[in-house]
Amino acid sequence: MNGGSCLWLYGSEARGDSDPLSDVDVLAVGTQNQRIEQGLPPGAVVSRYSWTEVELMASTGSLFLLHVKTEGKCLYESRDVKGRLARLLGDLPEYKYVARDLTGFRLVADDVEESARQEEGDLYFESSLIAATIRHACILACYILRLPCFGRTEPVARAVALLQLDPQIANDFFDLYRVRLCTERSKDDGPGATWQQVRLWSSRLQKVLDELDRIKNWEFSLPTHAR
Amino acid sequence: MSLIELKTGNSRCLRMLDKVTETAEILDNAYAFRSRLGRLVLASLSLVADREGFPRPKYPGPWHIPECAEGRNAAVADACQAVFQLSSLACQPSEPLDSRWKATWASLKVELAALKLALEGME
Repeated sequence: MNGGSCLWLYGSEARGDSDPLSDVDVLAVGTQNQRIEQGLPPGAVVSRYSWTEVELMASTGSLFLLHVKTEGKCLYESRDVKGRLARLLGDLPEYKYVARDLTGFRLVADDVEESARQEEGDLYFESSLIAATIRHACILACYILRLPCFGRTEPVARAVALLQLDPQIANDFFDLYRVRLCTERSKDDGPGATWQQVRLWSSRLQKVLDELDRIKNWEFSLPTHAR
Repeated sequence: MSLIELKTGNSRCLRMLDKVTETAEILDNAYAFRSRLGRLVLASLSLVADREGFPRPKYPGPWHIPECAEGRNAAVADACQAVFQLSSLACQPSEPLDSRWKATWASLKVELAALKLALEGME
């Protein structure tokens, strides 16, 4: 049963907090249905997976699928796969790649630190990377602390509060994230960036990762009733 | 950018390329692989832009080089384009640790080898 397809909306459009810088995020599973996908708004960002891939992701407790589960809305599903994705989302196990993600975040943080130290590379690209990595690290932290959220800046605000990190990280994060959004969308009216700011954010990213490292095994020490 | 930087910029890109290849050998590094690949594409396209006197691209992505560009520069831009297209398929924005990444690495390796040749050809 691999012929059917479904489309789910997720992200800011699904949450109802989109703004002019928002994408329309869509998950497409199964064979491409051009007739249905033509109805999507122009510029929709479609993440496309086969059923086999989605099942594999589900078996690892994918945070992306948890994201879709938390806020997603089914836009379309063909009759032969009715309820199939919802069933997969309803039965997600614990996320298996906490340690692996942390290793990846560390590598990115070290790369950015090196670029900032040498003032080599592109300021906006490095700023964008820090923004994305802090957000992903905070999404993971919120998940570990059993309060998952997936908004643009909400995971950072929540993780900073829960982990008692410097509140300035959450206060300033919106501006950093705007650098990322404006850079990715080639908008010229975005906020500026300096190497000094990149160095500051690079050290903030390291602090977030240190905290994530500290709590990464938390799930195993939580009593069952607290999960 | 100074004349010396223009002449040696490709060595920096080649160092980045080695780092990308090194990262790709370990699946656990997929998250960092994506960002290193982006940094490499952006640096290579920026080098081409500087050498041609065009504005630099803002982000690693589709970037069309005018037909009047010098052959060696155009070769680097074309190779970057091929790497970018394949990498956007391999690294979905929403799930960088996708199993697909592993499957696409073989094809990406070929495109990276072409980029390496094109960068070396700039010397």
